[in-house]
Amino acid sequence: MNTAGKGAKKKKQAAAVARAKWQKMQLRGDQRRQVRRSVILTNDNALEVHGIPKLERKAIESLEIEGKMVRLMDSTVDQLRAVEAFKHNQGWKYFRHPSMIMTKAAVKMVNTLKRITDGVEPETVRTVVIGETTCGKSTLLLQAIAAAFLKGWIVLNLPNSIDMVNAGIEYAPVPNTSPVQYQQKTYSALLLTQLATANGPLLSKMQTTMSHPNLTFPYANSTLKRLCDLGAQNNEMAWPIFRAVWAELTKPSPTTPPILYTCDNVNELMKPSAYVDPDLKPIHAHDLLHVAHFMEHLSGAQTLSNGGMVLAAPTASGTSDIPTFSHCLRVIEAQQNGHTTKGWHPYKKADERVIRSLQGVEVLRLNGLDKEEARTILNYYAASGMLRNLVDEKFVAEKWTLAGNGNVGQLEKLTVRTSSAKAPSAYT
Amino acid sequence: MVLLAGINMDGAQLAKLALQSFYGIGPSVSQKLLARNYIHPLAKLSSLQDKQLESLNNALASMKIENDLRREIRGNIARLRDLGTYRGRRHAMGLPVRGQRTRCQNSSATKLNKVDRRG
Repeated sequence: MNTAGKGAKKKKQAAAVARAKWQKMQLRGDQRRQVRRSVILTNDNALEVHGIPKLERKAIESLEIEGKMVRLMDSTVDQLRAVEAFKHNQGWKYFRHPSMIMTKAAVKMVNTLKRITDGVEPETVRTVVIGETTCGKSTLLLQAIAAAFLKGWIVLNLPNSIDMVNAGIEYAPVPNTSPVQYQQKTYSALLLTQLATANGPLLSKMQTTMSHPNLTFPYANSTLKRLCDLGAQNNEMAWPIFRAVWAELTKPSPTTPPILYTCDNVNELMKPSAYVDPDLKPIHAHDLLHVAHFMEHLSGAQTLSNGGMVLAAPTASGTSDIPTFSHCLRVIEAQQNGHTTKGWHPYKKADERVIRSLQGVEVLRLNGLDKEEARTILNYYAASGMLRNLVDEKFVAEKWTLAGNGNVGQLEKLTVRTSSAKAPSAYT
Repeated sequence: MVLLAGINMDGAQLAKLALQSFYGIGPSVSQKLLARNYIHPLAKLSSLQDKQLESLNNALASMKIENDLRREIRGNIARLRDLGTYRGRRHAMGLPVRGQRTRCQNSSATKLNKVDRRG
């Protein structure tokens, strides 16, 4: 009887899975991608957590938020959505409102933004955030972007950087370039849409002041927002317009705000792409215009004249190792800490372009949360109703240890994402 | 609808697969044609620019594909048969040509090996 019941349940589950699969198959390719990548930022079943301060400009200035949970304001959420800073695999969908813990690293990042904003001389900080998988690298980028928006910076984020190199969008050679460079008009238009949506109010106050010979239409005294909108609608003009807008934004001027230029999953851009040239040789990612543009800024070949920050983070999960990239980061980190590290393999060829792109960058290693921070975030999980355990010292210590010394993604997995974690355990 | 080598093709089809639908074009040739015209592997036919389509059509016009290729293959087999060679005779008998066993497992040979080979 019992076995038969189990069998029926299994059959039912299998039918449900098959139905879900079939429903997915009914969607077109692009719709399937949309469903797969959709970002859900609210959970109506989670409890409202009271007493969490909003992440406002004032809160950032006061710096009393270290180690505390903060909640993103709706306006910031809209801007972050526009620059695609949220990732679908982050745990936003479990909670009522998008909130996050301001770790020491996040506060350090906010301090750096403050230093650049208040500095007399414009300064360009170039940082690569590294750390284990799910240690919060992408969230740190998101926190930096949120803080930059609150401080009135211009933000440009390269969303889904893998889309640039996996040969999923059109490409075309740029005439008269050596080595040949390749443009991706759709991606340029996408970036301009992002710039116009996320930084609209700022860009609509700024007008063109320079001459741009590549623009073939009358643009004098038009606002940068209008230029971005034009480029977003017209793929053919997107790259020249992007260059023009960037030139205007990086022209030394006391009224132009600093720029935050970020790229997540940057390791995808440190190897030959899936595109091929007419001889069927792979095109190096650094030959794609937008990647090259980012790398020029990451390497310091181009500086942000009004100050700013170039921020990148590799993904540590599910990707094959890129030897030159990993080696460079190891060497830089060792130098920063005053250590020495092993040299490059004498018989292996290093990717010179990757080495050049990482020259002089600062490496910021993210470690797990400390116990106090872990306690704060576990309390938040419990207050949201997503964790039904008593959060005391023993529980925090247990989960902190199991999560590999406070890896925040693992903490979430152990407490929120695990169904068994919701049932009170024997010891509570 | 998109015209490729004189044939109306569904625009929603992948360019790579549309090319492979021609007799004589497989994955490798299709990839070369795409790369030569800077078409990414996931491009749909409808998304191709006029210039790219024209270039593809020109390339296809200069290649021996479809009936031209079939005619050539048939001609080659007929020549072997006319000369009375072993390979020609084996083709005519619908038996394996290259020394394979005939006791069993010769269905491919039965299907394909004919003087008037279809494709």
